[in-house]
Amino acid sequence: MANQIDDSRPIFVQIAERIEDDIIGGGLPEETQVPSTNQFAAFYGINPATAAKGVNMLVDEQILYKKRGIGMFVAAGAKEKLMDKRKEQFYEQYVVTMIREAEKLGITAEQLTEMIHKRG
Amino acid sequence: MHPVQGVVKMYMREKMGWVLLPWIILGSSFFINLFIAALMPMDEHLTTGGIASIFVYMGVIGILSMSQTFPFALGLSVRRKDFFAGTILMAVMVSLFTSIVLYLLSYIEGFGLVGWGVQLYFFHLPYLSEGNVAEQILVFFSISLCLFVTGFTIGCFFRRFGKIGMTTLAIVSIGGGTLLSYMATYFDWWVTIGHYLADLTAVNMAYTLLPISVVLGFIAYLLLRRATA
Amino acid sequence: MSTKVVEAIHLSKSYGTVKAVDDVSLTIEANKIYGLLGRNGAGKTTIMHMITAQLFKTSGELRVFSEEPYENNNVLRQVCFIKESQKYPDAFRVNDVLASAALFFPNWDAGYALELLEEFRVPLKRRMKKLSRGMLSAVGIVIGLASRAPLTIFDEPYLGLDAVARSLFYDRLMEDYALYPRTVILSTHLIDEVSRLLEHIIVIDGGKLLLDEEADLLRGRAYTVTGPAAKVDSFVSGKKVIHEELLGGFKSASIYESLIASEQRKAESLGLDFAPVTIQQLIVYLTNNSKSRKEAVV
Repeated sequence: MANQIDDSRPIFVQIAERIEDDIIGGGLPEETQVPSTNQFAAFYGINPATAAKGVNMLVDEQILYKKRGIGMFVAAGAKEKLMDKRKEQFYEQYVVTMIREAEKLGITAEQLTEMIHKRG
Repeated sequence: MHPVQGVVKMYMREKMGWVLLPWIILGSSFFINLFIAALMPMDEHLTTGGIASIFVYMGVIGILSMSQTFPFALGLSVRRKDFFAGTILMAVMVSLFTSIVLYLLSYIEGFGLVGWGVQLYFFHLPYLSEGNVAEQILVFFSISLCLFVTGFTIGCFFRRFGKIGMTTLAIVSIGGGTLLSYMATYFDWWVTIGHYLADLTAVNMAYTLLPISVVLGFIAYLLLRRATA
Repeated sequence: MSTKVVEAIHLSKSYGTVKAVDDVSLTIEANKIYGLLGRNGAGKTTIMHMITAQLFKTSGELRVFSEEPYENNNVLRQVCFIKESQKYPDAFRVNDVLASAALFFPNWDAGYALELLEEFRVPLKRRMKKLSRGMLSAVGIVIGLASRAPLTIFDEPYLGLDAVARSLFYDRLMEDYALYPRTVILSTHLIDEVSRLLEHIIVIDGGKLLLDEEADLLRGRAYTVTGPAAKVDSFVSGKKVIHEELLGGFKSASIYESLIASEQRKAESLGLDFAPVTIQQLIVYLTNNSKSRKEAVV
């Protein structure tokens, strides 16, 4: 149960990422309620305060918002906002690394495009 | 609930050790003596000191309450002061119970079933069983309490100073005792001491044991204040 | 009410010339779960005994719930300390121990205690002396949880418990903590198992405070680079190295420094492997008896 959490990165970041993934993947549509901090804590076997920190980070980024007395909900436009953020990260994380590795191996830009098309 | 009350209730869970076992030991000593007395010719009295076992046992419980119950109580966040008060309260109650029962048995033995029909005098003893009801109960009570407190103080000393402290204490008391006995010989105190003891009635002894218990109890408390689990 | 549950200021404890606890200052805040970690004999147990007034400090100040804990029922009624070395009266059965705990902990939940006992499969009527090591630990855990004490301290609570029982302990602790928030101090060697439960981590080493940090901030606080020795050496020069290993011409070095993307890219462009260090590894490296490494942190 708890083994999905990786102990070498801040857990609150991982919790935030899980929620983001669910929003992007459609598991958590906009305007639906997000599980409570204690539910996250019990599910992942983590400290509730840490889970709360992850949730609050998304509140600060206006991905989630709080309905007083009820709980946390996915904000309108959250999915689009996250997609944009992830695209930027995708470029940083994957494209830049791929190009560097390609350069090392002497793969040209054309060959690279060809590889991508072949896969698609 | 006040923690002192809690400590007493905790001891109450050990009825076996505090109440039943001493009477089982005393009872078995009594029945062995009863058997021997029954085998003896009818014109002979059998007077024994088997009653001492219950008092010695009080000393043992005193030590055990420190070695076993104290670390447990401390583990349950009990204050040392409350543990002390609860322990002494328990000892007073048990000593009172013991002394009343012993008095009743002594009465039955002396005036009811005289010598249990076999001339056995186990509870009704010369010297101890003198004076009125209150005085006789006081005698049993003070011996019981004093032995408990002595055991308890030894237990506290051991908790506080450990094996090395205990050994040192033993050596010092043996040395001190020897020195005192030499002094007694040198200054010719023995005759005076002899007279004092000969004149000491059981009730007067009880009156002496009670302040001794109080002093020992005070020492125990001081040791306990600095004792660790 | 102050949110400081425990406040130690220059707290020291000496046995003759040996300093078991050496000038430790720390604060434990209300309703958080703390990990008190360190090697055997580091002074953790001594600190916990002083907090619960079972041992006496040599110098410094110590306040628990804003008061001196010694012989103070205001403090002691709120504290439950479960320790591995706990002694029980010889004649006591499990039910006697629970009944006694009920006498002294104002928030004691007897129903919950029985429920837990069943889950840990400890027979209620068995004598304490006849319990296995694991069952003895389970009794301690049951007392600690069912006491619901505002400050609950567990010192190596699971000697002899198997993985299933340990994970049961973690689950019940987190559940009950969510329902009845309280301050918990957990001292253990099994850092990997508990680290995700902890909000704050305190590391004691050689009687001194080595680390006092929010747990999540320690994740990714250090990283390891691996590759050809010469390249690794050039990368780590000027950095705080807390651990090094050499295998032939290959070297791995762990660096105490928060992960920065540019550094990671630099390492990767040098052809070095890059991996974050877990909390357990970090603490092992930091408490691994090397003075220079400790200095790197302070």
